[in-house]
Amino acid sequence: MNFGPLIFLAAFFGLACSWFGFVLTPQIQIGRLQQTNTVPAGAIYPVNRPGLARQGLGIYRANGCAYCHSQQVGQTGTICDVVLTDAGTNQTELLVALRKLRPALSEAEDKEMINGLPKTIRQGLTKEEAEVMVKTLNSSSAKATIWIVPVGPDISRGWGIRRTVAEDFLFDYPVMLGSQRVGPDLANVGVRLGDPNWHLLHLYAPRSQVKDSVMPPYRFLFEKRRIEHARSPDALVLPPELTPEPGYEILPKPEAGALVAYLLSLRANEPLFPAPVSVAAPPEAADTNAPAGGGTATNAPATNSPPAK
Amino acid sequence: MSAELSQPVTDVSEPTEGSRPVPVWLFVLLFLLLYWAMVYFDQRGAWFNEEVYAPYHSFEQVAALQPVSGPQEFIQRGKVLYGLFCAVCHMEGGTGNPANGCPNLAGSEWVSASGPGRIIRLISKGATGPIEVNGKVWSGGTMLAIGDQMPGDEKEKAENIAAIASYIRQTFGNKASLVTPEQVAAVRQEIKIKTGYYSPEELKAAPEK
Repeated sequence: MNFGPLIFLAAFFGLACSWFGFVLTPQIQIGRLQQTNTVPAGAIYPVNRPGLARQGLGIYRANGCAYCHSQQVGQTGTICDVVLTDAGTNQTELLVALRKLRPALSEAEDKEMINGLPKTIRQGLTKEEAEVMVKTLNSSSAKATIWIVPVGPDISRGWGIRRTVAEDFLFDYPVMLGSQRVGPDLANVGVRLGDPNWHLLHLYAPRSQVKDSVMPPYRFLFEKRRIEHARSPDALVLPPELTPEPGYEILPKPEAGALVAYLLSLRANEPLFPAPVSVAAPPEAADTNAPAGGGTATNAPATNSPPAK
Repeated sequence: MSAELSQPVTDVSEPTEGSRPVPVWLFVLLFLLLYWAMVYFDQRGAWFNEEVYAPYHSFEQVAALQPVSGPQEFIQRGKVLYGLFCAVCHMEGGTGNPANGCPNLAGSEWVSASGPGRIIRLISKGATGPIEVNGKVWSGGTMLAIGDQMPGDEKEKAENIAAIASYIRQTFGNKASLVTPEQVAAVRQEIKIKTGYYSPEELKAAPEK
């Protein structure tokens, strides 16, 4: 029997299905992704990486950094905190409201808390619970606001404040998502570790910066040079056991500089519509003569980390 | 076991396949599974919406979790956008720049009008031609269609224009009312077919509201 046409049709159907699922659907979904605005600040996001950082992406790729480092922060849920920003004029009423909301704490603790606003008064609520609580507090001339806090294992490790979304990688080609986590996630490494010298030393000798690091040293990104007249300002300041013999110095090659510039440009932490998170507004918010009210404004509560349980 | 194996296998005992129908319960199970999968997708898949990522299940859920945008955040957003799009010509302090014919925004009657109708048109489509601001005529400058050229979809544009208009109406010593995205959307719907820049006379003819 001749099954040729049937086999062809079956194979065609199988390939067509995966093409629809893996190529066409994502293309329709995010193929025309554009720059967007942060919420609620309205800044344009993302901006293209600086030129040196874009070269650094090539170095990152060439050295296979993505084989051990991911650039994707996960999130398993979102909780709401209630932050008291303004005690208002009627403290007695506020204390009564606080008594109802936090029966476990003493009145003395409540009184002390009101002195140092803004303060997070309840953590780990759903949006509905938080709204009810804010309503109760706002009815007593005080001002409370809801603080949106993403949670998840990656976020509690300090790898980011929210999950990563497609916008974060808009200007990257190729996108270095990575799948293995031999080393830590790097989606926010520029926020976490902002010192370029730290990164240079870490690339030259990882264990000089992180004890028990399993990262191989990338010494071919550096060169040993004889000091001609004076020590170069770019030379690495190394611990004694790594310092080269007198008269020589270790200088980062341009590749190392580009790679560090790229690492410092990894900052996927802006609040976006698909990944809502409350962040402290920039301090210049106080400069505008806008009518005060209802805003978190400059009043950042102490932490943005998930509640300790 | 060993007794069975010791039996000689003859051609006669060769097994044959009879025609047995697929059991009905398998079909029922298959359809139940399919139904469950569809319900699951409907509840959690958000219908391929590109704004919805795990752990969120629907667009409404994401929208409800957006940080509260009070007037202060809105003005702050306007300030950021003003710095990006407007401050190049109108200067950081809204003083305008005589060198390129860019009129002042501080104390301008165009900005602080009772309604935002004209300023929305101006930001959306741009303007050209000599324009009189506070008795002084500014000429030689052309304002580009900043609003139309902004990134984002129509909804985001309306929000951005409203934020900019609110910011300039409440800073530089101006004390006019805030502008809402709904007001901007309504005006932009009216001027959708307008092409080219506005002239000051056209703007004067437009309703202030």
